[in-house]
Amino acid sequence: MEISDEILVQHAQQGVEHAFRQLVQRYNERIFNVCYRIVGNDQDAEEAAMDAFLACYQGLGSFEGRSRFSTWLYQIARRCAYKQICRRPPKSEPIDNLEISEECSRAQPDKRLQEREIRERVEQAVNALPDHLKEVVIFYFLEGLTYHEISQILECPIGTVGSRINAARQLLQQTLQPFFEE
Amino acid sequence: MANLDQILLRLPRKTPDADFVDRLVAQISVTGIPAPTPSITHPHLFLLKPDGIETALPVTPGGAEVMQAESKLFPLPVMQKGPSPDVYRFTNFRHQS
Repeated sequence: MEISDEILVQHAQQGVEHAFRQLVQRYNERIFNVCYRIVGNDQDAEEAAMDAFLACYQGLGSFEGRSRFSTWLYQIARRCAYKQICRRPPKSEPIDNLEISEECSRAQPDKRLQEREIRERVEQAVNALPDHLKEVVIFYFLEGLTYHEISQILECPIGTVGSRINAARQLLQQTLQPFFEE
Repeated sequence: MANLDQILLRLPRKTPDADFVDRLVAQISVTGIPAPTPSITHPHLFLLKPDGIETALPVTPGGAEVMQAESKLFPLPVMQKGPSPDVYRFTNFRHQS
C-alpha cells in the first residue's frame, strides 16, 4: 500500500530525509512537466523544478496542511517557473504568428497528418498561449487537476478558472482550425 | 479523429533526467539547508486527548527531557482528600508551610 502524502509530509517535517526523498520521487515528473510547459525548455525547467523542491524543503515546516500537499507544491513550482522566466526570457511566438505550413492548412488532417504531428502542433499552440491561459491548460488538461485545485494554485476564483479554460479552448480551436476541420 | 480536448489530455508529460532526485538531494546536502522544523501551529503537533484537552508536544530536540527535568524540579500539586469529605488539600507543594 502506498504511503499517503500526509504521512510522508509529517515524517519529512520531523527531518526524516527518506520521506522527503519519496515525495520528490512521487512528484518530480509532474513538477518538471509544469515547469517545462511554463518556461518552454529543458534547462530552465530543470532549474525551476530544482528551485521548487528546495523551496518546498525549506518551507515544509510551515506547511499546515490546509490544502493538499500537491496543490501547495504546484503553487511553489508555478512561482519558481515564472521567476525563471524573469531570469531568462523565453523566445515564444505570439499565437497569431504561429506557423502552419500551407500543406498542413490545406490538408485533410486525418489523411495527411499523423496524430503525432497534430499533437506537436497542439503543443506549439499551447506554448504560444498567453501565460494566464497557458497555465490553466497545463493544470487542467495536462495535470488533470480540478477547477477547485487550480483556483487554489492560482489563488483566483473557480469561475475565473472556468472562463480561462473556455477562452484557451476557443483560442486553440481557432488557431488549430485547419487540423480539426472535417 | 480525436478532438482538441482529447489531444490535450493525451499530451505527453515531459520528464526530467533520471538522476534528478539524486542531484536534488545532493544539492540539499551541499548547500547545507537545514532540515524542516515543524511549526508550533502545525495541527499534528496537537493531540486531542480523550478528555478533550489539547497538548502541545515538545518541538525542539531534547524537549521531552527538559520537560521531565522540570517536572521533577517543580512537581504539580496533587489534590488529596482531607479529614472532612468536602475538604481537599494540596500536597507536595514545593514551598509548603
